[in-house]
Amino acid sequence: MKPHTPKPLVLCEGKEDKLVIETLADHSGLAGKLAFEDYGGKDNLRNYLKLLKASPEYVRGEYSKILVTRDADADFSSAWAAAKGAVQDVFSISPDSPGAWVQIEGGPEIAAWIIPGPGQTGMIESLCVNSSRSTMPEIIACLDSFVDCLNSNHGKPIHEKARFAIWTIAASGPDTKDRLSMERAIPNLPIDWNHQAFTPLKELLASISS
Amino acid sequence: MTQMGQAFARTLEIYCEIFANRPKILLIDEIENGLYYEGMEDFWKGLMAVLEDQDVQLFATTHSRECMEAAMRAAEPMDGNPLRFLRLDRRVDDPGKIVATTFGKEEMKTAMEFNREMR
Repeated sequence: MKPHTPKPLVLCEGKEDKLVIETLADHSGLAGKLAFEDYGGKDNLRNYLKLLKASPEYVRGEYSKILVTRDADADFSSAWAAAKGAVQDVFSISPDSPGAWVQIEGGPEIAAWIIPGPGQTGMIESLCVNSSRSTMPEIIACLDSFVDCLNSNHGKPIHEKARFAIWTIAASGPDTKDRLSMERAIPNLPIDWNHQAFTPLKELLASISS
Repeated sequence: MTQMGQAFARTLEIYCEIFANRPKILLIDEIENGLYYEGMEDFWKGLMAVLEDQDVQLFATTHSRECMEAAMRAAEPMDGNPLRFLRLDRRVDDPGKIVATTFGKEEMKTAMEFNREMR
């Protein structure tokens, strides 16, 4: 029988998060070294962790480490409390701070990370936009003005400005198929994957794969 | 009887065992044998009703994902928590060690939602 090497698992909040984090890992030389799963939204995290704990892969010991990620959205503290609480409820252990590893009894180590980074509000798209300010400053400036204009005149403020920006940039791409699929659009967007906005997450990914 | 299908014979065999021998605990190996996957949910609904009525506890083994999911769907509207799944796994770091994991409808429901294998 082929020996099985346990792999680190990165849990992502949604498809876009998984796509971006997976692409970031590829750009960091970690292709194939990590497993990624999306848990279908922040409200599903607790149930997904319960499922994971009962899954054959977890019980057989196929995960060396588990990194839980979620977006901060408008409130970093609430997002951290929710992620920490879900880990505590399911595994009876609580990480002290984002990125801190704790050992699950009889299982792998686990940590939680709030995107875009400690103390910040926003989401995975915020990282993409922040890292693209240098590669496409004119477009980002246009979008900033566009969002300000919409906020002033539309009647409803745009809460998810970064998501709106990334989808708008993707939708303006030359390839029709790219415009309709974030999966196809992300690799072709001029995102600076080496930008410092990604550094803390990259370092965390590198640390779990070593 | 000989004109009926395997599923009918299988179901009748199990019901006869329950009503004739009145066991408190019934063990069935590879319960899905002879059953067509589209009929599994109805099979489970009928069987669960009889088990509850006759106060019998069933331990059934299966390798069939369809069978597990059908049992889950059949048990969902029932009161209480009549169904538990128990899976045996070998640890990759110690293949001699077999670990038993038990889970219920909450985990199974999420697994079905995410199309995740729980066998």
